[in-house]
Amino acid sequence: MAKNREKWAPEVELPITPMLDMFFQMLFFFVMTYHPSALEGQFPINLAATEDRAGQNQPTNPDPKASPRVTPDLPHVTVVAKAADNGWLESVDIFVRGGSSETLKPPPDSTSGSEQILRHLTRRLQEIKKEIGGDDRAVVQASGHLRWEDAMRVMDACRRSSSGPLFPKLELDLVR
Amino acid sequence: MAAMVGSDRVELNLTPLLDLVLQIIMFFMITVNFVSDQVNANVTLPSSTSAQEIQAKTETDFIVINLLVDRVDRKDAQGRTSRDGYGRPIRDIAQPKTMRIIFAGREDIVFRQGEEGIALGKAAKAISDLARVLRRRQSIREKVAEDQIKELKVPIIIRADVEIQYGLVLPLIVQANREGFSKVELRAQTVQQVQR
Repeated sequence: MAKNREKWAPEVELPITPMLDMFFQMLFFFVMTYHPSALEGQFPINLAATEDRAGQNQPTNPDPKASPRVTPDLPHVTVVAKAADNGWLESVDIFVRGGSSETLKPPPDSTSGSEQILRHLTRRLQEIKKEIGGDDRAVVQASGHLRWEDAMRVMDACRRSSSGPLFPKLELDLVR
Repeated sequence: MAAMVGSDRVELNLTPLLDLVLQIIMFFMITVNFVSDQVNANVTLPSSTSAQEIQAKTETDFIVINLLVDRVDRKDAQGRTSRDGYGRPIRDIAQPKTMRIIFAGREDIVFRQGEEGIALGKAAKAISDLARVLRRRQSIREKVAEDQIKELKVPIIIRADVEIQYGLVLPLIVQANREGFSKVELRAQTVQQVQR
């Protein structure tokens, strides 16, 4: 009896044609909608905490009679990026709280001015980081008409060097 | 006739084909990037070596502000669109230079050089309106009064074009901060750091 049933059992076939059709439709959809875009990354930033605090490091027009304000949580380093009239990066000033200040400018005959400034900035910040130790914050002030691309490059130079992080926590402000 | 009797039934083996198609579909499904309505693809983002990987967010829990400069395709002598080595059209800044601040679901704020103050005023109002709506929503969700909400949990993401001025971006961040948005992120194209 069992032998008989086995002999006459209908052959079961899975109709894969509709499934294939659907797969090809899906494939077509994904191929048509696929746009490999440039990888975006995020860049967390802070604001200079208060209007009073911003720019404290910058010793422009110091008043000798004024008593210095002590703000213990103020970052040690302030980087000031100044733009030329056309908006490109012209020079960078570095101020270290209670210490030195210097201006980085490309040599007059230089063709890749901003590149040189940024290389020099990273090198100097590496040295400063070694001197001041643990503080991983810095204030970046920039001219209002500085191109965003250059502002981002300055922030990049402050945040990390090829050998590791420098000042990853940046506070942004305008040049006053 | 004899040949027909002796021959086997010929079948096309579809299994490897199906495997391949399924693998390709799987690839596209994983890599598909349904760009949010809020993200404007015309923004030329600056490159950054220190930009971090974006943490996954759902569509509704962030606000994107796009700042961009209008661009036009560069044409050659024959009037054809010039393309770079990858076949992408080369785009120049449209003259006169026109900029836009774009919030999703709102009318674009279009302005030219010298009109930045007016544009920033409109953008500040838009941020303020958004903050009011989000504060109300957050107060309902957290069951507290609106005036007790000090910080809005929704992050603001700023996507600014390379040609936008720093002085346009920072006031937006300040305004967002003033309205209670405690998280502000900038967006950039990630590039590998070049050894110097």
